[in-house]
Amino acid sequence: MSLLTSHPIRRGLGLVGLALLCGTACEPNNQGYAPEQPVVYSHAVHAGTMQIPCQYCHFGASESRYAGVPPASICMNCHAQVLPEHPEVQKVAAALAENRPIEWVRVHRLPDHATFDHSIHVAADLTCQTCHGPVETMGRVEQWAPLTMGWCLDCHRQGGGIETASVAARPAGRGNELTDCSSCHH
Amino acid sequence: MNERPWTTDSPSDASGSSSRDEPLAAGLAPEDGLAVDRRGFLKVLGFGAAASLAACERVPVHHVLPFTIAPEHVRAGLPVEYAGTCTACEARCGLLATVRDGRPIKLEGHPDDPRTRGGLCAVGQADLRALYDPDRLRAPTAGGQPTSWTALDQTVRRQLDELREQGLSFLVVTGRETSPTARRLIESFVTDRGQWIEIDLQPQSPQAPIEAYQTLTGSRLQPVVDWSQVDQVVSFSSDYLGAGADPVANTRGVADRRRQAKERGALTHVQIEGSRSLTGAAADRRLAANADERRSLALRLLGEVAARTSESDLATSLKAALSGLSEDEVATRRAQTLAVELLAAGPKGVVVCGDDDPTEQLAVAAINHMIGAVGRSLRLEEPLFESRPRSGVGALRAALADESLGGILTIDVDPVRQLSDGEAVAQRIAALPLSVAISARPTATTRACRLVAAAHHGLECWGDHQRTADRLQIQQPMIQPLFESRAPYENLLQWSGADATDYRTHLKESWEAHVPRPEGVGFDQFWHESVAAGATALPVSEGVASPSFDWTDALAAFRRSAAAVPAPATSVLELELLAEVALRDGRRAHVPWLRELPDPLTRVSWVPVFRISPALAERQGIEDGDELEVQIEERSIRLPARILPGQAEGVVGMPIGYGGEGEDPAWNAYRLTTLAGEGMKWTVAITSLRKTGAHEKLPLMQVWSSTEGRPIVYQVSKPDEAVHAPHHPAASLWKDREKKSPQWHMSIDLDACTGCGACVVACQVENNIPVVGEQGMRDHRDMHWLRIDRYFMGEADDPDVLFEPMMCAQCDHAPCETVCPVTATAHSADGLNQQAYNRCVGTRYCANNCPYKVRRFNWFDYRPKDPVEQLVLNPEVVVRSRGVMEKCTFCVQRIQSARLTARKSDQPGAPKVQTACQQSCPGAAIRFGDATDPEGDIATDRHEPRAFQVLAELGIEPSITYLARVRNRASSEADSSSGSKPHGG
Repeated sequence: MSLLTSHPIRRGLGLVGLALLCGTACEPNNQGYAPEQPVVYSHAVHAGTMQIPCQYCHFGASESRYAGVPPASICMNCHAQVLPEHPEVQKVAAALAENRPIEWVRVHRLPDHATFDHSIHVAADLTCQTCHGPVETMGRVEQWAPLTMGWCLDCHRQGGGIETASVAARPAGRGNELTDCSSCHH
Repeated sequence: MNERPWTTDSPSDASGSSSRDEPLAAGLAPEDGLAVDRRGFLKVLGFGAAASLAACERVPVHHVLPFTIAPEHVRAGLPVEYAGTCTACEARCGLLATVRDGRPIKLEGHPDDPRTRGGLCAVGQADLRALYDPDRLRAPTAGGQPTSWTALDQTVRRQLDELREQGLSFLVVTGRETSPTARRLIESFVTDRGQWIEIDLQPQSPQAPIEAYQTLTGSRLQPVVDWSQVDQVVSFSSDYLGAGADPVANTRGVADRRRQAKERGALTHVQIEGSRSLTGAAADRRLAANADERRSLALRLLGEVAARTSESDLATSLKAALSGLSEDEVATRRAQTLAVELLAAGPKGVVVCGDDDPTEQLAVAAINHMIGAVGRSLRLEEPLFESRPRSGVGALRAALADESLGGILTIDVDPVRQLSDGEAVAQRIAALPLSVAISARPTATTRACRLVAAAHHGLECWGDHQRTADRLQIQQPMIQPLFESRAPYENLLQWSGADATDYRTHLKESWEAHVPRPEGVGFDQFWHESVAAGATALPVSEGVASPSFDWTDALAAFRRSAAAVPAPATSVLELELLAEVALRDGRRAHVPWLRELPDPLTRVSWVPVFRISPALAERQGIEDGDELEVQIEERSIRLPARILPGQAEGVVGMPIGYGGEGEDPAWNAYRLTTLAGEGMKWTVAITSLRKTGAHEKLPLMQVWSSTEGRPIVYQVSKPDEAVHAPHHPAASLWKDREKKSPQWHMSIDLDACTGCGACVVACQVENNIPVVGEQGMRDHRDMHWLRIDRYFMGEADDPDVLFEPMMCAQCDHAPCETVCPVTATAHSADGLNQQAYNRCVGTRYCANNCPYKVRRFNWFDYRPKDPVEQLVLNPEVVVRSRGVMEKCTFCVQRIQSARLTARKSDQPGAPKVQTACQQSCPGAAIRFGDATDPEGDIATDRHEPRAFQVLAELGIEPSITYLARVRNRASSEADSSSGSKPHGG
């Protein structure tokens, strides 16, 4: 019996092939994910053309862990007057009238074992685009960054080329807690 | 494993679809035919292609459902705290509930409650799980079938009308009702042919001392101890720190007083009891005595006190009445010692009594009178809500026997389980034309009643509660009702045809009409402020005028009892029915957190045991886990034995919390109680006791009770006595880290710790710690991150008990970190021993290398499967899966949150953090903070002479400092065992 036909080797080869097939097929993260949403909504129009500040709608970002998807009532603050007859606006108006939440499809999602807090990153003067990319040009929002641990650590180790005023001004003695496991995993 | 609703899934079916027995890849042949032929190769190829396609699919689609209109003060992900009242027992401690995204995830004591100041007991902490209990009643039922509220209301109203037409009466049965609004509502509900009976079905009832003062003064008065005034307390089986009436408030009072020992002398505590209680474990001295011995000791003590006080008519007549006491040298000497100490303390001494014996209660009241305690260490208060006529178990039995009874309505009580002739009561209830049970859960009583009104949990409804004359507390809903249930008292509004049938509206109207508010404040503002604060102050009238005592009846009782004191006999056996710290009377026995909380003394969880003394065990050849059959007249009970040093020789202890719905009915100890006046008698004579020959391995959290002389835990005899713990070697295997502020450190004062277990449950709730179930505990797979070790020291028969909370000490030189092959556990800059669960591969090297044995391994997937049960999970903490090691992290999620808040608001210095265990501690025994702060709590505690660290001699630099227990043995009975040298028991 030749070496190549012995059982473990052959099985091993099969598994290597399998792994190669899996591995080459796609990226291990969700980068580029841009699902269709129940309401056709363009950030390019709202954040780009109209220049509405991000936190007008995502008002949780400065206080909470979650930036939050805006309640339908926020949309209708403007759309009660602006384009009320638009078919997509009508969907939102109907949701509000029926008190039925719109089922948006989540684009950015970290695994359950990682904790991310928007508010502290906003407080550190990071722009939303640092992690979310040029949202103001996106018709349909996609996951721009890989959102992997290595990608987070690029900044947390301050090697990612992002040096903000507040990171630099952080009091001494609190330095490497930014790379402590428990900063994100608890 | 018994099939019980609260156990986690059995390990066999826990792994779900990804069974570990499935072959790695479906295309691979079994072991014997691994040769891959052409077909096999194609299969593998096909699988590979399918797998890669599957891998290309995006992660499952997740939806985000925002509010349509956002409520003003609610932000997704931000916790909101609401004030309320704990409804797990009648102590009604103030509550602060943390609500995240519409659901309460943690209950804490309200720091503004003047009685508890932030403490909350284990039962109160665990009440959250009773809210998310999948077995709650979800809708009203009639005859066992689900029905609508409209139909139920119509039936009840019609039947009530029919009863009244026929001239029949009906009963409303409740527990001790603490809500003034509910009391007024019941009173008006029963005006037409109804009778309301309150039953109190727990040992240590506050009614017994009230009855004694009724005999002495003609008015109902309740003795309340002011711990700040006490120097010497003698307790006759009063479990005021454990399962008694108000343990959280008492624990805080006693702990605060003990902390003042250096400035104003010690609080010395002598406990006389049959079964070892938590209060007995905390005592500086303890005498084991059965019920007869306790009564006679109380009488002898009264005699000795009378003999030593200045000549007065009362002293003379007391001496005369007690002259009939039989000669007993030992008992007399004990009484003399106690009398001398009490008289030395004078008005700063106090005697408390938890026994149901009326003569003993009278003697205790007389001693307090003689030493001048009343008005100083003891206040006599008019009990709240005492204006009603006769109520209690006796009244209930009489009412049930009444021919003209046509209906019964029980509100949140289970008389069928908790009366000794429960089966007969059930039959009687079933035979009545109208039987309604208002209950949140199925009980023996809901089974007996035809109509069942599913009730809200206390965290779902409005209410008010009063425990002291000067304060009225609010109960407010913390969550929308989970099921089709209703607030208990809303039913009465519906059935009495009231205009307002919403209980909140009723409560507000009741407050507007009855609660005095400050002048110039509108009701809306007053209501709003009261709800936000959780309570409002009430104007207090002047204190009770000093009552005049009439000793005639008491003297007669003393004379009778003194003559009847039996000679000491060791052959007499008695069964003491007792409330355990976790399950109490069994109302919350379905809560898995409480079932899994090991009893502080026996260290047994999940199952009831007979507690027996080492002497009895030796005499009868009994070992731990041997099944015993105890015969009480016609009835017999079989339970495993647990030998508990400190148990009086002839006293067998049995817990009353077991045997509820879904459990072995033979565990129901209430079947053995007898009636004593309006209360119940909690000790019964044992006819015979024998071993059945069966044996079981008990679900024990701790199997060894002694330190075997190793330097693990210490006690001292004076607050300033130093502990001489071994020093760690100068050389160390580990390199020192740079220690910048903050360095998190904890200190635990064992002198304030009673071992009550509140911290254990608080930790479990905060950190999503799973429940492993009865079999898991038998297999020693407990998951508690924080456990309270219990050690015995001193004499084998009645040793001292020492409790030592034990959790990860976040060692600066952590042995676990050294051995982790994947660096899943590593040190953080602020001195924490971090555990990255997603990195852990489950080698368990770390647990083997941990000297404290505080690391816990997920042998199975313990995650809750029921969607209602999952609501309890804390979203700030990862829910660990199978094969992962976990442990205490000093509540790193709280540290992290405090750190972020501090940084966002530019606060300098270390942020203020409270760990969950620290927050919950009724005795405020736990302190937490930055060790580098020279002025901080930690630095102060570390410089105490009593400070020591466990196993510091290993050079691992633990971050927990303990302060040794103080046993005040300065008096004549001071013994040699109270030195700082540890020794096994």
